[in-house]
Amino acid sequence: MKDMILECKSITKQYPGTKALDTVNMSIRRGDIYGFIGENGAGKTTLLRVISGLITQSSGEVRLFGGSDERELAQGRKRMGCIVEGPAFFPNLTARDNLEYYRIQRGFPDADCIGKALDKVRLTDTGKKKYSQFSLGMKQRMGVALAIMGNPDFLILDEPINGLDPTGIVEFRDIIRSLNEEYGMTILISSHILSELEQVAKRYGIIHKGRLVKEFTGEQLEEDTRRCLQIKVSDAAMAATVLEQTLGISKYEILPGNELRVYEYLDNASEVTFRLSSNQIRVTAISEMGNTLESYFLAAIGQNK
Amino acid sequence: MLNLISSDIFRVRKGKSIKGVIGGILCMVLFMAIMFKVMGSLSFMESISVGENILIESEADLQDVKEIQGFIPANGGEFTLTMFTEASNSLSLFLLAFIIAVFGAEFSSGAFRNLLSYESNRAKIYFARLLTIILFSVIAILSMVIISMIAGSIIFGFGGMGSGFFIQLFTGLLLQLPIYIAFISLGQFILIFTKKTSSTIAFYLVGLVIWTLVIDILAMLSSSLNWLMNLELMTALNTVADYPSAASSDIAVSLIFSAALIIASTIFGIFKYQRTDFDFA
Repeated sequence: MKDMILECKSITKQYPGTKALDTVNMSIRRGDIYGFIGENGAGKTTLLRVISGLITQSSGEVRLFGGSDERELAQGRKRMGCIVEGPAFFPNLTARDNLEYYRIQRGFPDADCIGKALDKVRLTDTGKKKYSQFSLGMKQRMGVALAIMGNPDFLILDEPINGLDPTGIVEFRDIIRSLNEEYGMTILISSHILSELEQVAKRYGIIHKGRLVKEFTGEQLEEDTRRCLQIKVSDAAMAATVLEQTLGISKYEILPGNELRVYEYLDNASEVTFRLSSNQIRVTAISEMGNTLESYFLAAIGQNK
Repeated sequence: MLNLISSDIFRVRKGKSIKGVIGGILCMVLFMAIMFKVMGSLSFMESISVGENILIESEADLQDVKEIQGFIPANGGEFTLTMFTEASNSLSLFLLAFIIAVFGAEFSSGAFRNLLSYESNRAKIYFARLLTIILFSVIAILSMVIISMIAGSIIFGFGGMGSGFFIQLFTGLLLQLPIYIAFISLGQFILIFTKKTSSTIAFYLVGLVIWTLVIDILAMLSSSLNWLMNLELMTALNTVADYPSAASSDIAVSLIFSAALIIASTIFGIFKYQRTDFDFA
């Protein structure tokens, strides 16, 4: 309980004629990188707006750092850095001036915090370039710079990878990892594409039509999306021994009903079949199993074809 | 509160709005000074013609010339006081630029999200913004006075700036301030409702025109409703600036109305700001 950074309890947000959030329960512990996944319009940004105080929920409770009354939430939000709905700054000011404005506003006494924040997001050499002249990737990094200025305990980033090129995505993942590992920040990061967060998040939540339909860990995701050869044979135990001895396969599982799951040789199923057959083991069925991230996501939101 | 005000001062200083407003005031003052100078030269020409009995055809014409001559400032002090009374209503429109610069830019850029997600006390934000705009407005008004004093002295000659001049100026400024604040709080209130700078400008200007028209029509309908003219704030700015010659009752009505407007728009503005869902991009 002490390590709980955020708890959303039955959060509902009702707009005229539509329910943007429907009894959402979510919890984030200290040290988490929480990947918040959902299609466009699923309710991700609405929940982030509720957490950051931009809008008020129709019902339910938000707890930040263990506190849920107005005063505690106000204090909690000062320990939070957030970028909701993308970065937004004054277009005619430089990166440094924009951050200086917020440094004064937030009362951070250390003027060096600007340089440190820009350094962490690798945005130190923008000079007199105005924010309006920044590329999309620079704008996203600028958003993170503001969010991390003042070393918050909890970071909320709404679709920060949106529109980045592959190099930018890799850079961004590195920044997120370093903020989490080196600076101990707990991070809630949203995206509409599961694969974008796959390499960085430790826990995940999938939201669909305003409901949090699934929460799972990185390990669970890896397990559920692990690809394998599922083989039905005449004798599973014997087949396992044959594969170990002839192909050196060690990653396998024996299932009831003489079925075998092999996690190696995925690209050479014919070799596996040949070895089994030549050792008098009859193969009655062989197929490649395992979810892709996309099919996993679609299954979670109930739209698997 | 102080941090909020300081940060806005930093931003406005870095931006172009304050330079724009001061530049606008400078242009306005110079334009008026040149106009007076031209009018002065023309009426001088006409008085020569009057003397030679070339252009003068009636007593009425002679009266007109005298009136024009009486209106032309004799020195820098007189020009400053003329600007102060006659141009103050134009200044109320310049204040709109500050409201847009301080509060409106945040909506148009989306940067309000950065502030509201960090600072939960929206009443504090609203109040800090109001104070910031008032501060910049005072700077703008003082700039107009100083620019008028310098330009007036250069164009019409030094003089007329004795203790009486400064007392009238100071009293006028003090009496005008609540009316300016009423304009500001009204503009801020409109901005909170519309959340768009373009709509705010439109509502502010159209509102001013409609309000003036309604008051004028009502005052025309019955002479007993003449006091309503004091609720027309643009005119009220001129009236209070002309403090010694204006009726105390007229000034009182204008100030009471301004105070009511400030209180109402601030209370409703804060109420609205605290309850608004900022769920637009």
